[in-house]
Amino acid sequence: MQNEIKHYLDQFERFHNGSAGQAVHALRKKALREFEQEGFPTTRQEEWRFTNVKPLAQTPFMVSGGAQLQQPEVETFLFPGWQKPLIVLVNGRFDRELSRNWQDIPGVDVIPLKQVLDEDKTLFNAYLTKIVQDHETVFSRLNSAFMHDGVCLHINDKVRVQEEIHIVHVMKGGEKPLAAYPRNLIIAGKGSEACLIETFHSSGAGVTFTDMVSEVFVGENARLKHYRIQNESPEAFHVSNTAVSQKENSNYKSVTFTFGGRLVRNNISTALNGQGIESTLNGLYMVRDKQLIDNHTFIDHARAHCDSHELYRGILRDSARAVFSGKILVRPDAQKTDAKQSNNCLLLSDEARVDTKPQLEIYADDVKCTHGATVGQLDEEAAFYLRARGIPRHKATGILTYAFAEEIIAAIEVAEVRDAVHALLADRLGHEIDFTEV
Amino acid sequence: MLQIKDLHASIEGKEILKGIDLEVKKGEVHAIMGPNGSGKSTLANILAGREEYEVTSGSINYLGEDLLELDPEERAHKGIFLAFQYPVEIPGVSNVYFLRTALNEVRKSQGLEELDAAQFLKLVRRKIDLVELDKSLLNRAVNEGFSGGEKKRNEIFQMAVLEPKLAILDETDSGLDIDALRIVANGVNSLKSKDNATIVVTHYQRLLDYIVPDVVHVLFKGKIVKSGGKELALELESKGYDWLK
Repeated sequence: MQNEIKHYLDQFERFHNGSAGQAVHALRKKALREFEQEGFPTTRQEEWRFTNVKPLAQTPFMVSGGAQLQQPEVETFLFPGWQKPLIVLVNGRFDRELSRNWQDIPGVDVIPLKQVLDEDKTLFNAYLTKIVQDHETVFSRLNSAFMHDGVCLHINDKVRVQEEIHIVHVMKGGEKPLAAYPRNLIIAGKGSEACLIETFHSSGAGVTFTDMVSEVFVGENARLKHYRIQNESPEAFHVSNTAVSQKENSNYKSVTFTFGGRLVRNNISTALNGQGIESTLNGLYMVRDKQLIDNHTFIDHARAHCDSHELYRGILRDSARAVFSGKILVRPDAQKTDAKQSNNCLLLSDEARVDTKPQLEIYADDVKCTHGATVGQLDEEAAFYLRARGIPRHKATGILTYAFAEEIIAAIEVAEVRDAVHALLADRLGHEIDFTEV
Repeated sequence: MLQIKDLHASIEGKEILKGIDLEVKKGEVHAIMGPNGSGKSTLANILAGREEYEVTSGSINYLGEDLLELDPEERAHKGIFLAFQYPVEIPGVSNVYFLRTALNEVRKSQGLEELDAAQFLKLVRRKIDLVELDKSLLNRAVNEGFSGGEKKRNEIFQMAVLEPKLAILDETDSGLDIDALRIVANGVNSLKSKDNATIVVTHYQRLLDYIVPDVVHVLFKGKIVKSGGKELALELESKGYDWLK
């Protein structure tokens, strides 16, 4: 373990050499010290019991420098005909050449995070690390130690953003294992409305590691939708740390789709810091071969009259593994809380494995909290019904798998996201099914 | 069309069918009656290809082919249709998509062009009136939230769209009120032709007031113990099944 930590200390010296004068350096140093003390987690720790990060910890990742990507390749990552705002990050760095329509979104300031770190004292002081500090994991600390760039989206008060904003994250591999530490700051001002779509892709071969932190502030009465589609290569390690803070009467909805990666851990936590808040955390994952996908959610009901909804569904093939852990904390002041959580998994093979763990901690007495988890095989009765009508077995499997996923997909208002997810599902099922008319 | 010879079948080691012989010709309607547990539904499900049942001996010949060699979907392609006793709910899949996929698979297997959405809708509008089914059910998920009667009518509606050669109705009448029973029977009767055949599996004689059978068989403890004309059904109705014991 010592060598693994030393590797990161060396990387830190090399990467941040000469930047000690910046304000951010103190934050980085502090995070690095905490990382050094904590080290990588082992499966003896409860939060990591089912997810062994050894393959990640033992890979000597180099911090990626700027990487070049050609326009035609970027096009392959976009939704067909996308003319709306587009922000492209390559190996964690904001690419001004490849991004478009981002500088003139009415009421939205899009700022490369590097600029915030270097120049923007106001945003820096008001927001940076202010949310994630309550939800740190060793990976968010590592991100803070190496944070360098990313995207800052500042939606001004009362602005209703008409067009969805697409952020494309591309991780370009190299000969050596490469790591990137993108840092996002999303600020939805009072009464604002916006929809954000993030997609994650790999370019070329090579082992990569993305360790991302997104800090999301949802102001009073603001509405933010946050969709993510992760489709990196089977060589990719990916840890996302999303920390959300919601003010009264706000609405945040996150849907995390995970298809790619060798080991993916999504940590998401929302703090409901006001009354009348609604928070939705949904997720859908379909994994195969030896992929491991781990979703850890935490909803902190701090005040009264808030609703939270969680629906995570997984589809597993081959020897894939999935982990779900959903923690809901209802604090003493959070009377009239209504919290629903469910995790359902569909196993399409005997070798696949699922570990699911709901955790409810309730300190208020007038609340409604429900949770449920199911793990099952394909409904053979339904499959026989389809086959008895002439639908071949593989297609019946596809239709039923699709139906299992549809509850989450159907609730997405953005057609491009629905179509992209349908296409990925069809691809992972391994045959052509046109789901658009189901 | 269908010849069943000395069919023995079991589930989980328990023998249910103990030597069934049955021949169904084109244009005929056969009723299979019998008390609960006599093996009626087992027979219906074996014809459709349900895999839980193990055929231990005997044979089924359908249109010159060994039926037992075929997968359920292949049987459907060759014109076998089972109206389920308990139609399955499939949340997330619309009725119309399900049925179009099914019909196009059947057409593909017969070398016919697949129907596009518009062509299919035209066909469906014609067929749905036959079973007096609410058109709004087309866009709902398959059988989800349907009443018992709607589920059974949906089965007959599917039958009308798929136009099978051999239809097997597995207790389609059970649980239906008299109006639904009439609608279901009308549907079946209007689909009848000299080229297709129907096997009606039922516990009660009542359905046979509406669907008049050519032959009635009585199944008891896994064997056909009596066969006769439609008057046999009436005899069973008045005497019950006790006299068989």
